[in-house]
Amino acid sequence: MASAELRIINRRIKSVKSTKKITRAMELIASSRIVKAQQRLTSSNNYTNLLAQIVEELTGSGEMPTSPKIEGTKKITLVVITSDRGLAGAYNTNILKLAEIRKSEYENLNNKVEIVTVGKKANGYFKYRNIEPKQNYEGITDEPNFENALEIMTPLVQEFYEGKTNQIELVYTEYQSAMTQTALYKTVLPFEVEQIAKEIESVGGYTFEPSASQVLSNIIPKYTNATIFSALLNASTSEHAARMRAMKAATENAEELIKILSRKSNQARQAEITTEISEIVGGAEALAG
Amino acid sequence: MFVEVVCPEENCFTGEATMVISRTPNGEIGILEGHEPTVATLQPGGLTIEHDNQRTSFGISGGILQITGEKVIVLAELIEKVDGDHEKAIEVGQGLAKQAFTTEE
Repeated sequence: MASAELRIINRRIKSVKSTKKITRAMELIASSRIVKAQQRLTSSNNYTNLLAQIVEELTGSGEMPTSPKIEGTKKITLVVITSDRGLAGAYNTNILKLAEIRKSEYENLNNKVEIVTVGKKANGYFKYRNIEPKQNYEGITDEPNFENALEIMTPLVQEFYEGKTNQIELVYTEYQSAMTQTALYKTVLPFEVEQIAKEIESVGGYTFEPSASQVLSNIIPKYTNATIFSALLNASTSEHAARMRAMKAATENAEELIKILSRKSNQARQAEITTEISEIVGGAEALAG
Repeated sequence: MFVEVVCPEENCFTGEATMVISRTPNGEIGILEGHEPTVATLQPGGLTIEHDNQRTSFGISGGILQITGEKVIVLAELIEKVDGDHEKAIEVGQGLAKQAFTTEE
């Protein structure tokens, strides 16, 4: 009877050990991907910052982007960026929670909300709740490239200018450091020029070719594309970081579990030996008696 | 004159150059040292940089050009380095723009 217990424990140890190998491998893969993702994030930030700088320059010279005026119910498109695969800790849960909050906030103000999902997880989440996403993109978040950003953004921008949607908002995870990633939302269109314009007096005295307004109308689509590209990169880097942390914790837990189970297994083995000895001693005594 | 060619995925060119050639809606533009500060849109087509007595050409799907006192910055969404002259680059750039356009459909 005791040997059965021993066998069960040893089997569990074996299975925990193989789980540990898997989680450890996933941790290593994620950590090697973070480095690459971070580099891409940095160069995309460089691009976005330079664009932003030119936009500031333009608005400083008195040019303002025009957006169609909206009255009554607004139609809002939420672009929710999650991962395709799980095992990334609370990464997907956090972003979906935020998306749900934004959605109900808008709906409480009598706005109509449509969802565009990036990543299998978001798609599954909304489908399960009987909300059919207007559009779903998969296979992007592991290593997003700029073409992916265009693919997502171009139809939305077109709808925006046709008046089919009045606001495009991204819900994604921002990568701050390997330890900190925050779920946040950002409005892409209508284009918002923050207060920066007033602080920066037209510095350069630039000549605009062909004209300031044309440069501006040319730059805004580029800026929105860059914004979503940077959101995709942020999300992807965060995903890898979240997965690395989750898998690290899993590996550590597995180690802990193995320790506890080995102790139990030793105890069971010892109990088995004791039983055997007492059986032998009992048998010998019976013979002698 | 210091030239930087930046696209979302990488930094394509950084360094000293003697001349930058491209095309704005108003026509071909060649930028030499000491050009007045300008912000211009670039047409889909070629971008050629003359540096160290050689020319490096790129095809671009359109872009933004910023000239400040000391720097020339080119921002391009889709960019591809071209082995060949400016004419070849123009072809490649227009191809890229078409490709970006078909994703739009």
